[in-house]
Amino acid sequence: MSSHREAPEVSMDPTADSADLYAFVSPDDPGTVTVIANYVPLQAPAGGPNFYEFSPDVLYAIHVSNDGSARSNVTYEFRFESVLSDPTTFLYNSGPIASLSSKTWNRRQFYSVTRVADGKATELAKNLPCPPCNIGPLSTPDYPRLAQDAVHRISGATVFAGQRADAFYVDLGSIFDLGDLRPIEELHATFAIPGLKLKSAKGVDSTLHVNVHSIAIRVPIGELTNGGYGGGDVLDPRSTIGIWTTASRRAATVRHAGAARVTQSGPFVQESRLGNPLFNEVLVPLARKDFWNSQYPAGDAQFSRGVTHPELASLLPVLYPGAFPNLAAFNASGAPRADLAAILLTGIPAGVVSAGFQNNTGTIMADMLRLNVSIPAAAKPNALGVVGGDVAGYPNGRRLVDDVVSIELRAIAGVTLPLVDKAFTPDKAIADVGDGLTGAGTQLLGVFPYIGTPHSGYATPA
Amino acid sequence: MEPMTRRGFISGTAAGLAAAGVAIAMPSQMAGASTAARATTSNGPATAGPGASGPLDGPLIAHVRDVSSGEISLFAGEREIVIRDRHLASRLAGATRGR
Repeated sequence: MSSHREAPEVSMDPTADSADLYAFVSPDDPGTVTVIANYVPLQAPAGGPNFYEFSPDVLYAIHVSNDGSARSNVTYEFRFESVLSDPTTFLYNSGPIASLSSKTWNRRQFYSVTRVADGKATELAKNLPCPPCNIGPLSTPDYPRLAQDAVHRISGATVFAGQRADAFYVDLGSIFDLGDLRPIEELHATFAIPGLKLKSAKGVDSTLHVNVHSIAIRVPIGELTNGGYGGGDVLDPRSTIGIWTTASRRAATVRHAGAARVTQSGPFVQESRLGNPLFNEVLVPLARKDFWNSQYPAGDAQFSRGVTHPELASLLPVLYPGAFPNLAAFNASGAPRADLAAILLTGIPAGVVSAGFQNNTGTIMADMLRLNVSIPAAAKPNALGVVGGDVAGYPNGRRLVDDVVSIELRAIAGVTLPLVDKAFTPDKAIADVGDGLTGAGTQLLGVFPYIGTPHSGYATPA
Repeated sequence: MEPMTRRGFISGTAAGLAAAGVAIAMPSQMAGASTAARATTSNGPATAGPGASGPLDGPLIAHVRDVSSGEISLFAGEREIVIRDRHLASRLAGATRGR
């Protein structure tokens, strides 16, 4: 739900649907940045016999803007190829998959990595094998080793592309039931439905048992920054980079009956993008979500009203009568939410959170995940990130542990308003705003690609 | 057994389809027509000059956007070339009516 199925058209095209984007200073390699872009969301692990994969027809990309233009200065492109070893069988694998070159593995994927910078495209690697999906103890008896073998050290980067456990945690079931937040649902208006009484409850992690497909890349900081700046000074403008991911398909596709099924041609046309979690999901009206996906961050001023006057901020006092009086009064003033504009569209200037923190990229309003590469990884991350006093976390980049649902819900509810409006006092209910989840149960790795081993189809209820 | 890939499968049929496409959008018939080429960059659609001449590599797909103005988009390689040729557009439209 960070961006899973967030727009009508792309929700019908899961292989091109960006689900989550993470970017952080690598905790075990501080001279590098790791970016993870997730696609193919909400996979039921047992979804065979045609298990999940990247689309060979989609151009996946990770973009970095490093000069305040909100335009891509460095792009990493990923193209996938599916290979069928034995077209005569219906099986994904005909025996245990012991290695990435196992003869018993019938349906495999390979990919190339291309770096585009200064108008020049350089292919860093090709024919890199992905791991298989995690099927079960007979088919993939040593899955962690298969996945680790799919970590490739290539020219100027370390990469991985393949199935992973979704690290995002969210209570989809309650949030999309008319804004029900279980921790405070006894305060919900309930639309006067007869006999319905809600009690405060813990959140239910809707994505705890689903998988995604991750593209992960770790590169030296200087590969991403303006002029190859290696970091060190938090307040140096070169320390902050803006990151987003896109998925694009060819402009023209003709489908044929018979053996030659598809002809494609023309430029790649962007179908999906993702910078900040929940941006398109929560701040863009339904009728404009697919249009938003087709656009580029540099043009995001056209969507700024959804940030400065967010619909959800207006709904909270209605859905929870009496719980958000200060927010309701602020909404009534019609004043723009400068705090949200800074967090989501320009980055936070120095001196707003603290004298020693900034992740500002200038005045161009653009939805990008902004990371100050001079801020080292936290030894003990606080899942509430900057809101929780941990400037190494969201919205300074995004780590796998970050509770972006609670952070953004609380920000929209007004917890960050005092940063720009000293007269505003957040409502008491804000302390309990969230979906009641902490990420407990989410399996992560201590080493690249950090995101956890995918759930096995054999062991996970569909 | 040789491994089979989707992309190879597609490109294997592309030559025949391209030949059929060229018969519709012949370079000689485009002479005199106004052209503009669009390619997609990582920052959005960009305008570029017409592509280099030479043999067509891969499929060519034509989209007649507006018969009356003759606007036709040609998709070739990773480019979109927009031409305005009312005569060609009219002929293509006529072909769909058996003329």
